Amino acid sequence: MALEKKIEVVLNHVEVAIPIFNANGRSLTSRLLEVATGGVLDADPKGKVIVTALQDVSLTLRPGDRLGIIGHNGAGKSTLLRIIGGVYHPTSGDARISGKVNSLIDINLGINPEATGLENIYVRGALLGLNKKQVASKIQDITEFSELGDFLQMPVRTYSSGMQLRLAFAVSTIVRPEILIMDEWLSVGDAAFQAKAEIRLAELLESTQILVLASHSRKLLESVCNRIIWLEHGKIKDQGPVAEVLSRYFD
Amino acid sequence: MALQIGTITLVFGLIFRNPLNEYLPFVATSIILWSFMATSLNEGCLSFIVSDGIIKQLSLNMAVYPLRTLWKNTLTFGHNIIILPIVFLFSGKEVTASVFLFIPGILLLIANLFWIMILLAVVSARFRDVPQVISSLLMMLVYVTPVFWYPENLGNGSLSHLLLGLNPFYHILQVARLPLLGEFPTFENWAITSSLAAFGLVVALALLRRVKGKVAYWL
Repeated sequence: MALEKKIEVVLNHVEVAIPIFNANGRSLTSRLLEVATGGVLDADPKGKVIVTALQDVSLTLRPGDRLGIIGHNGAGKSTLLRIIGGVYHPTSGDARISGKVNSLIDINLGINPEATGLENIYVRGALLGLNKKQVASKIQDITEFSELGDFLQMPVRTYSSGMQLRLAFAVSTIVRPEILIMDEWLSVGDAAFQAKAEIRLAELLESTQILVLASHSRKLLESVCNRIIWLEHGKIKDQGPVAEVLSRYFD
Repeated sequence: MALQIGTITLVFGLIFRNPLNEYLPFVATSIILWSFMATSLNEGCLSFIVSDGIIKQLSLNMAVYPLRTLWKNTLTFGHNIIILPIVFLFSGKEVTASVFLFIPGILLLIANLFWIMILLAVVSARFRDVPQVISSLLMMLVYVTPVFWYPENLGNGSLSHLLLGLNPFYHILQVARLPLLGEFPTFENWAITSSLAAFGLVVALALLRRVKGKVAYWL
């Protein structure tokens, strides 16, 4: 048997300092002007503010871990999700992510309203890392699951928002990633579809090795996660077993 | 596109007193190639900016985004080039064996576009006024580069040699244009375009690797 690939997420003193540029800082001409005039002419030539979104975050996730992230708005939850998704690279410290990651943060990603539902399935499939053949083999499944039928031949802009969500949901959940990232639970469509979606999500969670879920919902975190970290101002304020951390956070 | 070619042929043909049956194929080829180059570069600036949603959620190879813009423009170019056979037929211009050199020529042109687009995409993501700067530069370049006029018309002075010789876009345009017009690009054209492509791709890909983790922060 081939050596099994190690799936893990290791964050080591990760810091993320995001430079926020204002109009001046984003302008090459004013930057050149600054050089030419020795910086006298322009009041705030650099126009740069650095926001430290995460600071000294260390954590290790192994298969079987179901991590919940809590914290107030702006505490760094989304930034942490992006680090784990490999989108942001830490400005200091290091992040090692081994395993196939899929993120369900924005399932509408890459949907082009002018293209037909079918075309969008291919585009989204490609973004998920599938080739044409692999997508083609899933078309049947997606059509049935989304209940869109012949609507798949129509441009997505003609869809109702519920239909759009059903399509996005059906496509986003066809791959079985090793590491799954979610920002809040996905709730889509009417009651009947909702039930189906719940089952599909449960399957997805079952097959994924590591789950990272940011949420504000106590009930959800209690039912899904087995570990919690609490972020505040970009730092880990508390972490540990679900019941303990949640009771400290919510009470 | 056809309308543009027709108008320019008429106006510049009359101004320069060029025989139309020779000038028309020249202008048609030049404009089709030039608009491919100019739109690719203009849109290349926006490669990362328009895909910010994807960049902030998925970790893909950053070269995908400029490549996507390039591919889209290559397809458009493929549609525009259909005008050429009609123009050639209409003006009685013959196609010679040199046309086979168009294939390496256009590939070199595309390779050069690709690395410039990568650089522009990176710089534009950081400095948002670059797309405007580039579009005015391209406006200027269309006059400096022999798109509407014959390079020979510049005369043989040393200044004109300098103007053409130092303009990379002149050489890039020549390697793709001349084969279609039944002529052969010079050794200088080939040497400059291919070394530029090789050098540029190395630099651009190295830069891309360096800024890989930064682009998402800039968007």
